[in-house]
Amino acid sequence: MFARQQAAALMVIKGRLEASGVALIAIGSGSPEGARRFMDTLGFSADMYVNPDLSAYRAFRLERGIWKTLGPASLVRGIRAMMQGFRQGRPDGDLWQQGGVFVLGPGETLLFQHRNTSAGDHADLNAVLAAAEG
Amino acid sequence: MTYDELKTRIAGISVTGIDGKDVALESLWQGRRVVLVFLRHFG
Repeated sequence: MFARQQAAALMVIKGRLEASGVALIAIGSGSPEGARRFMDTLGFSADMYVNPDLSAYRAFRLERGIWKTLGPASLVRGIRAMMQGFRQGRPDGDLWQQGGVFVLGPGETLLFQHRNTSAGDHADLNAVLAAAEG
Repeated sequence: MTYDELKTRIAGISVTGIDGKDVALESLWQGRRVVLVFLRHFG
């Protein structure tokens, strides 16, 4: 559900990213088939990759844990997401792994970093745009 | 985290495209600026 919410928000800013020559790349923890299904179902378009062993998530120091998914803050965010019309689909990937957003490149440049502290703790996309377009 | 620290941590890590091909993680932003989003599970 939170991935769906995040995907929808990212599609809103994708046009501005493309206009600035910035690529949108997504990495998921599930299978390539799950990634394709996710993209087809939600109309989510990005350069999509998967990392089921979570090595890339660990390298970027992203959070993982059962209570980061099921804790009170996530439950409140989940209710809000449901009120916005988002629903939980069939999970494909690691249920306890949290996400994040980074602005990188070209080359050895890190311009923005956000690590979700718990499920639904998404990055401020205005800050993402400011970093990406700067 | 600085890029120097990240560079050490991502060395040797690859991700898999939906076409099944593996690519080096760091290669994704070598020649371009990217917004890299780590999703939770597909669901």
